[in-house]
Amino acid sequence: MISSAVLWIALEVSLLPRPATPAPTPQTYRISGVVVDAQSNQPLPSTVIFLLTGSTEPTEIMAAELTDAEGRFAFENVAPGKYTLNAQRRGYAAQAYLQHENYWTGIAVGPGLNSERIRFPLQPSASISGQVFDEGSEPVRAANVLLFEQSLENGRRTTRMRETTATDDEGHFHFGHLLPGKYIVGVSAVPWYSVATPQVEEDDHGDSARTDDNLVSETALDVVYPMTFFPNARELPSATVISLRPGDVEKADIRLQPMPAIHLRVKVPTSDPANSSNIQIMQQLGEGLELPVRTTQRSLGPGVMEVTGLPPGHLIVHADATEGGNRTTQTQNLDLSGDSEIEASKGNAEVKVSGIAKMEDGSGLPEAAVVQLRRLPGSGASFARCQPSGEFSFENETITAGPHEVSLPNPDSFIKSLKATGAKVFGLKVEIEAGKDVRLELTLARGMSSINGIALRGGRPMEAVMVLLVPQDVENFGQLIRRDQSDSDGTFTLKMVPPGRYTILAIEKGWELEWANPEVLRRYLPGGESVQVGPDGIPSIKVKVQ
Amino acid sequence: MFSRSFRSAADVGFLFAVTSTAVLCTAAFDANGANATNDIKTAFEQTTDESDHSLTGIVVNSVTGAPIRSALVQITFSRQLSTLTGSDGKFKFEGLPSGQTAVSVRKPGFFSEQEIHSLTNTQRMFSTGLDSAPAVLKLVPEGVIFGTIRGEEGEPLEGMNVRLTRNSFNSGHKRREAQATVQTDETGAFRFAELIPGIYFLSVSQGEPSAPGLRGRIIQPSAKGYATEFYPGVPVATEASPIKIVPGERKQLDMLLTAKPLYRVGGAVSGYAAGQNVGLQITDASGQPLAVGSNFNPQTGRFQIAGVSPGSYTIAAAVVGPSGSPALARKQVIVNSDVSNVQLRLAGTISIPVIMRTEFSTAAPPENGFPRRLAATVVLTSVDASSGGNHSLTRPSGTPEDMTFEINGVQPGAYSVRLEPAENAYIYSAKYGSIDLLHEDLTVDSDTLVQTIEVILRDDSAQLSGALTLDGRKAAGAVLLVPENAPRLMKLMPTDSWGAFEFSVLAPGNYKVLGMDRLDDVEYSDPEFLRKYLPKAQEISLSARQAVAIQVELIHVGD
Repeated sequence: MISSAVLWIALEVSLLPRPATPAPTPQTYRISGVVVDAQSNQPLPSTVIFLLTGSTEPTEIMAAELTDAEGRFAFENVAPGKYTLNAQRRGYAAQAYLQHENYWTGIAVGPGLNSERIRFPLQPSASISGQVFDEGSEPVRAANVLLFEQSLENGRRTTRMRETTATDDEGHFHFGHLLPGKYIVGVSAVPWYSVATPQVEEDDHGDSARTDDNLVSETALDVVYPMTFFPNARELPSATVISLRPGDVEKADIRLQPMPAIHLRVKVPTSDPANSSNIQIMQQLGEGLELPVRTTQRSLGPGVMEVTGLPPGHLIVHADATEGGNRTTQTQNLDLSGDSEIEASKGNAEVKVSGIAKMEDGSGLPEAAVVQLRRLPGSGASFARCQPSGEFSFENETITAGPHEVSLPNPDSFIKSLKATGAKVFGLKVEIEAGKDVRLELTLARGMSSINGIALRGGRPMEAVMVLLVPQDVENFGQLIRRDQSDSDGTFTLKMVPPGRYTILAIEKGWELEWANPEVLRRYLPGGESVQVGPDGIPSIKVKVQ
Repeated sequence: MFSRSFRSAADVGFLFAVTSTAVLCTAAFDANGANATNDIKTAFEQTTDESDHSLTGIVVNSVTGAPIRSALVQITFSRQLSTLTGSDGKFKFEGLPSGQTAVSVRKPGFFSEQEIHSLTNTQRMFSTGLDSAPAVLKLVPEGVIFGTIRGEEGEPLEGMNVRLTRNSFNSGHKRREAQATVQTDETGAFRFAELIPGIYFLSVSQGEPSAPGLRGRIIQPSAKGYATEFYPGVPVATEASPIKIVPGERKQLDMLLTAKPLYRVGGAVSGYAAGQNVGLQITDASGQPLAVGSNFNPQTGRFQIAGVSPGSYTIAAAVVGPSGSPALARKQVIVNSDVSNVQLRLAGTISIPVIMRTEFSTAAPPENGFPRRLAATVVLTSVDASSGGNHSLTRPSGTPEDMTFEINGVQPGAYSVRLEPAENAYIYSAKYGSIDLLHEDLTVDSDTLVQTIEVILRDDSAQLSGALTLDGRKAAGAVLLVPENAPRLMKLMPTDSWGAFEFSVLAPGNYKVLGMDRLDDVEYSDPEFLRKYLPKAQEISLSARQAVAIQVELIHVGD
């Protein structure tokens, strides 16, 4: 398993000339095949093909060449082993052979293995472009356009923000190089004529001294554009999902409608020596999707702050407040539809999480051990570095109530057991409660192994199937799931597996499956191979493809 | 509380003197600006009973005359008032006291005339009235340059750097100023908007290698790449075609690039001590550093730079970091095959002392206890082609207490010296030893003794203002002013759109004044140009502290 970012770094290296082939060994083989359009099956000439060593963590580019007029490529004098093929062509997404998410099929080379006549299908990329207009049908410049992608990621249906761009002087935006999939486009912009923010005016004129009566805003121009999703939805779930097929060129024009800006007064405790609050406002778009809101803040006098430029909707307010000499950040979830007032000191204080990690056998901790705390569901995570003593603390991190998963991203060690005071523990999950600080106790152990195996259908090796390693208590130990995609000889490798009881599944087209859903997974578990992994791993295993 | 424009109106009292209340008149003529503004506010508050005045107007496109809808119009009385124009471009503020206000107008895609003519920074004032004539406010439409960059087979080139520079005028000097750099998109397209009218130059160069995570960028596995080209397809900046943008213009510029073989440039660096860090940089003809890999062996001094497309480059080596005295070496190389023996000899840089003396025409008392002082910025521009023609170093560093400075890090070579005096001062003389820097270049090398640049500044400047005329009517253009005894100090300045110009700080002496109908694309410092047109110039003599207003007939220059 490897992220595609790492692969890209590796590809940069190709700019420097390299010897084309490795030193010939007594017995060498050939990797050859043809690159075709995944849709039309037409051969693709002038495609750049890279040959990299290794099938799961390729680091070295051995050779690069262009396909000929019939789309053919061939690498001669290849030593036995596993390799990765990667292709790039204009109009197509850069991809490894049969790539799905961050997994692909490696090419196995050796006696009796077929590494020739490879058919490498390339997915044409698609694009979404459009124009953003204001209420008067005039283009909106410099609007922030966000592209969300709905996909199955790690077997879970997720919506995540993929990239952002800004509109040009004609209101145009363009997202290119998109793989087939489901996309949502959203626009966040501020009306250019908005006079909701007197401070901005001051900057324009270079004036700093203003009296309060100057700040009376003219309501007609004190407006905001709410976050708007294609074609004109206010909320992410009601946005139109754009389904892109390979090569699609889709249009997504969006019209913005201004709404009166909401003014939020934030009262700061009078005992607060700073008498002001650092206020950060996020707009909640969906599960795990938050976007900072551009606001203007000013003091309305002792102990009162005003935040202007807010759109209506679900907002998360993070405000500093000092009470009893203790400065904390309070989080409040608001559903605003008009001007409101809140108190900075009310709300859910962020939870402080700390703890200690110890090796089971009393030995020293692995170098640079880091504990990760991930809010469930969602993708945001907090990290804390362990001191040599094993002490760790999530400082300067926003941790709020809810279920969290504790993990230790480390190649040598794993969490053998987890205890906590101040929170309930379920396996490697903790249920954090509001206003209750948490102390964690991690017992770590060494001894993870790699599991090798082969995916078989009717007794014959099968390439490009998804291989899953599922722990027995998947509900509470979901982080122990491992994954691979079988190589051209049907073999796979599952890395970093702690001892325990597991089921190994091989599923054809598994990446189209919402396998992280326990309901879905339950259907496949009986067809898998049950294994007990000890500290020394297990011998190579055969798994039937479902 | 008041916008700046409002304050400046009070400062120039006479603009303000149309009103009925005695209080306001007194206030407006008060010499003390701060008090005046306070009193004016009081005056308005007292007259709010008679808030029956209004201000109406229309916002129009300066080129087409068409009304501009949804433009933001803002005025300032006791507070800022804002409104949007209707679909007919008209606006109306009601319930105002009588008085005058500056009116500011904004609309995306347009500039105010103030933004375009830096000379006309005086705000126009408008009177409120019971039934006053509508104010006509013009906005100047932006220019746009857009286009597509393609390869020889017509394929769009993505991720190319497209760079736009603009001729700008700064204290009478023309220079190319970077406007923006963008990258071409998937379709090879680029676009620059919000351009003020003027002369632009466009160049295209190979983009940096794709960043990790950026999908779909094609990496050329072959040994070919794109060299920096200037529109319309020339390799050097001096051959680039000027691109003239007039208000509201949308200009499409497409370029076809041919991939060229990439070469290696190698050589050796000498003149550094063991343990010193040496940095290497290669810049193209547009002055941009190339994003190519280089390696340098500190033991042997050998370096090699791979992936250089044909063209003209400057290779620079410098001792970097705190390890010893600064040293630099620069060499220009023309690449049209592998270049193997570039010798870069690091030489210590030179520090040139500068003494700035001021001669005051009157014995004035010290300001705030400090003696009065004038200052100037010294700009050394390399005239040596081998250093790439880059502007070298510049501002004085050091303490200004004794008015002695040092210009550090100067490489041996020849420089033209430009002096930019601060407001109110002019250059009376500038010498380097026996060299008169107003007439000659400055040459420094590490072998001869470094002398001192001595500058004398004076404050008894003269002033020249006026207007250009064509057939008896005022006309916009540019004014070239050439001092008779120091042609190097010639100044060029665009007039405002009504033909007015002003040189506020000039050395007393004799001048030639040329009114020209073109500005951006004339090589005004070219001796050929001067020989041809200076005889047509008007001659004028300015004495100390004299303010002269003249009318200059506009002449047609160029083809």
